[in-house]
Amino acid sequence: MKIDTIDTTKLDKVAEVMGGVAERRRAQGEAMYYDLLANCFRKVQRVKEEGKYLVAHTIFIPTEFLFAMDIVPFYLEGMCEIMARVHGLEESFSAAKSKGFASELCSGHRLVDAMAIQGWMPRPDAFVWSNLVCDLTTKTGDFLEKLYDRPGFYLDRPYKNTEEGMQYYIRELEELVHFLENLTGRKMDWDRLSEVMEDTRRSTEVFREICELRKAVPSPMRNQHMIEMIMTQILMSGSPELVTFYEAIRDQVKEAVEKGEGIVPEERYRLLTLFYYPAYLWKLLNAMQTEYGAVIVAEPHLSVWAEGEIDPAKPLESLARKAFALYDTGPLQPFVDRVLRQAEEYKADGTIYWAHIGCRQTCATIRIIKEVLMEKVGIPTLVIDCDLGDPTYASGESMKDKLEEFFELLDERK
Amino acid sequence: MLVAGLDMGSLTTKVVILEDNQVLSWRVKTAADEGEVQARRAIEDALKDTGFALQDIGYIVATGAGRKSVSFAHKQRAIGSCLAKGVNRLFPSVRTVIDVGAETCNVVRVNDKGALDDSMGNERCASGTGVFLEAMATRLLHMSLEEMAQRSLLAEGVAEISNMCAIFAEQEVISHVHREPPTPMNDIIAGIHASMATRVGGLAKRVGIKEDVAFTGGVAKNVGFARTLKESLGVELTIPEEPQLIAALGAACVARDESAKKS
Amino acid sequence: MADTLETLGEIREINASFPYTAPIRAWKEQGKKVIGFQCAYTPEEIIYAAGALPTRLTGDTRELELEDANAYMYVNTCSFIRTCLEQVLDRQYDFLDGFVSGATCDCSRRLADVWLHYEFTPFVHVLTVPRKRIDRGYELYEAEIRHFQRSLEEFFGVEITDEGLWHAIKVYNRRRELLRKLNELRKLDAPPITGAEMMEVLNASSRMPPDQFNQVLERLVEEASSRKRAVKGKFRLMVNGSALNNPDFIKAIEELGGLVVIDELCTGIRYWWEGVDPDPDPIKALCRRYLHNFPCPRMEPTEDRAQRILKISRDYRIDGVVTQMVRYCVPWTMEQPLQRMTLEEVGIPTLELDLEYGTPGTGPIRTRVQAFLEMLEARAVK
Repeated sequence: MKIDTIDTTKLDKVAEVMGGVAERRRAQGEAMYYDLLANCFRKVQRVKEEGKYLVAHTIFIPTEFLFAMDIVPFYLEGMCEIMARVHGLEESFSAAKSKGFASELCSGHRLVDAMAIQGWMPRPDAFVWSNLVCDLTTKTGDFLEKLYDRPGFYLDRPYKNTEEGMQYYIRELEELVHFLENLTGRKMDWDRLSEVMEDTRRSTEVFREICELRKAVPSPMRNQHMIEMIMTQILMSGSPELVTFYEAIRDQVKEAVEKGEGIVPEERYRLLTLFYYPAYLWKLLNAMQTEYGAVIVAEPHLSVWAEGEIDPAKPLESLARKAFALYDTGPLQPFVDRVLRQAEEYKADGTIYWAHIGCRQTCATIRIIKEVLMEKVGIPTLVIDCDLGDPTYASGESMKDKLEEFFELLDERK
Repeated sequence: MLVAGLDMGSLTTKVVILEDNQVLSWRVKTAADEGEVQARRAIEDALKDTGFALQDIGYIVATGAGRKSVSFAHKQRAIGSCLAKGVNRLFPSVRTVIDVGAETCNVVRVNDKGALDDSMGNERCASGTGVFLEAMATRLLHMSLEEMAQRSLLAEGVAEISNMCAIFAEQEVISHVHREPPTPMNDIIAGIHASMATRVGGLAKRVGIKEDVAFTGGVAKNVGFARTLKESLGVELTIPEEPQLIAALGAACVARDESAKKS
Repeated sequence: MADTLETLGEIREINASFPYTAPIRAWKEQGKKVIGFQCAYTPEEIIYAAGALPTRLTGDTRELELEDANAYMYVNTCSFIRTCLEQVLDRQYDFLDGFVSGATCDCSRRLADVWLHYEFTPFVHVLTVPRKRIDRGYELYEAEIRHFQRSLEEFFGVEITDEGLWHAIKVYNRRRELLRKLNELRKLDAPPITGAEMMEVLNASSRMPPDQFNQVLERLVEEASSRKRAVKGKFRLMVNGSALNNPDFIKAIEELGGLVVIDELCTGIRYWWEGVDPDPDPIKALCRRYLHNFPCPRMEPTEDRAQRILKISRDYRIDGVVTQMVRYCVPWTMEQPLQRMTLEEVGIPTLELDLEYGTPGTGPIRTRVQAFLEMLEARAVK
């Protein structure tokens, strides 16, 4: 069962490709995000030569700990999806299936397993995973530990944000620190961690600013920026690079607001979007803006980083608050309230729900949210059945058709 | 003022022509040609004996699967809003429309202002559309759709047919036919209808059913299936006299509104 | 040699009017409350000590059409949870006064969200259940159970005393003890009860007041222990999966020669495996039992479960495992590749069946089971 050899050329190719993408975007002044991505891959490439530890982790594991201990992170879901897209999705899905991973499982996670099964994922020194987001993240590590013969740590966030739940989670975070200390043979430098947390605090503040600025009409922010902000949040929370990136976006957005300019010349539809957009279809996000004047004004699932106070002197409490600000892993009601609030604050005309067929926990909430939005604020919701990682499930064309129909519906209601 | 609505379905093309907001003429034409040609032929057919010609029509709106292939249409619209407008004109109390055509199944919700609240169509599955019944009738049971519809009304029982998929349903029908003793044909038909009603009902439930409910589209002419659907959903169904024409009628209403905007 | 256990007739009577069984009806007619739950991590004793009857939502023993459930949840929610919801929407659970759920997996907690939003019952409570069985996990779970206790007391205007809890624990421990005894007998070469029959017994276990059920169980265990009945199959199988309550499914396997001698199910072993140990504090005792119990795949890390499965495989001398993966269940399907490999390493093959909940065991399933048993046969010859 164990993977003995890793094909390092697979990672190398991806780093190269990402670098190429960044270069191509530089002319349009859009390289920043791709540079950050490419650098993440490059840092992973260099771990051996730099004598650093590599920890592979699932979504929203606090990278702050890793940065404070000079450990290089490998973000499993995001980076494996990119690797699979560069090297061949079909092959990867087959590899996952061959080991018995049912095709009804979220494609994002099947791709993580596929990268490991094929020996393409670089061998980390350890795996760290949690239940932040869903059952699939929860079950990520056991298989990978065995396959790659490496130790692992599971971080458990309680369902409800109670006093006891908070205490439990803080002790979980302490335990994670111990795990990393044992792994590296070094002690956590708590002063360094406070410095790292200061970056987290700053990026959270800038994030909040951006969220406030986005309330302006017309919308001052490009549709794809939120996805970029989330991806980088997961990859490098607690880094000066993230602060710089957010500040660059903030400055762009602020300028647009001050000039009273929208991101599109004629803003026709202000949209709320729910859950996550299919990873391979960024073109559609742009087309929505340019062809239809459809701007995304809020993403209640994704913009949670505006919440949770960060106090650099109290890193564990701060990180705990941040984790509890995630609605995915907790009860639904507070999230419904949030969606309603944002629909009004951001003056949304309509909502798009990206119904990812592999996602149990979000799809089961669609009905309630759709109903509540119509009843309480009178806005309709388009549910687009799609697959986060598998382009064969629903084509860009069919999604575009659906969007067009929805925009017609919105026109009628004006 | 002459306006027209065109519903370019997969099996048939429907035309409705309004003169000063009254229905002047309509046609249902089996699709023999490709998009553009088909549309033209259908309108010309509808204009026969009216004394008008194509160029007399001031505004044309196309809807349905083939709506984008009609170059002479002034506007194309998705089926949802056309169904809403068409039904609202005839039955203003209707809040849910279930439209089942040859290859499509659409459910729309209309609000009390006559505007569309929600619209959902079948995705990748033909089990809830006309072709399912057609295939069952002609290929498996060797009878016409008409006959099948009539016979279902005489059923005393309902054969159990798993409704996961049209393909499995076919296998089950075959096994019912060849069983010893064979399941009564009327019951098999009732089972086929029940299976399809579950599919159609499932889509309707996802959109949310609010009364009054209208049943439209070519399949609404199937009295047997209409009865099964009504029983399955537990609500009265309003079925227009010419249920296939609703989307085209709605498209014509859109044409009327759009041309009024222009002037 | 008897060809059946007579007491099973009583069991079948209880199950016949599921979900609103005759004993539950009688309970309600006395003006008492019934609270539904759906997960093995729900501490039933607390409900019973509050004077209410806990009854388990097990889905139906046939595959249901799930169009209403699909509308309220989604087509990709696990079919067990959707089956439970379908029954609720079909008004089959109108007799419930409350619903309790552990937020144990995504689909079960979303059911709780839907239940809460649409207010299917006046009382709804959701428990955080930690995934780790270490000190702080027990502490958190204990705090949760205490919250739950207070919540019940406030809503129903009752007081849950320590005495009440100890009495409840005694009753439920007795049930577990009797079920364990029955399952001990399945270690025999020719057990007195089949897997399908065991499933019927398990189904009945939360469909009547537990003290009454214990009486039925006593009779059953006595009858089974008398060894007047012995069933031998060609092979000894374990059935596992998250939730399963369809005896016909197991019967289909057994008719082909695969005697099911033990299960590793949430509706099975996790229900009776561990008892509540004495402790000065009954809440602590309950907490310990429920969290430490035979784990389901939602618990982390997974090594404990693997080891326990290997142990029962040895104790029950298993030739093979039939895993029914309820369609769209995530914890099971994510963990299954690892579990399968673990069993293969000790020479135990697994048949994986990906099914809609409630499937009885139709043609295609029988074919696959047959092929599996033939494979076991071929191995045995070698």
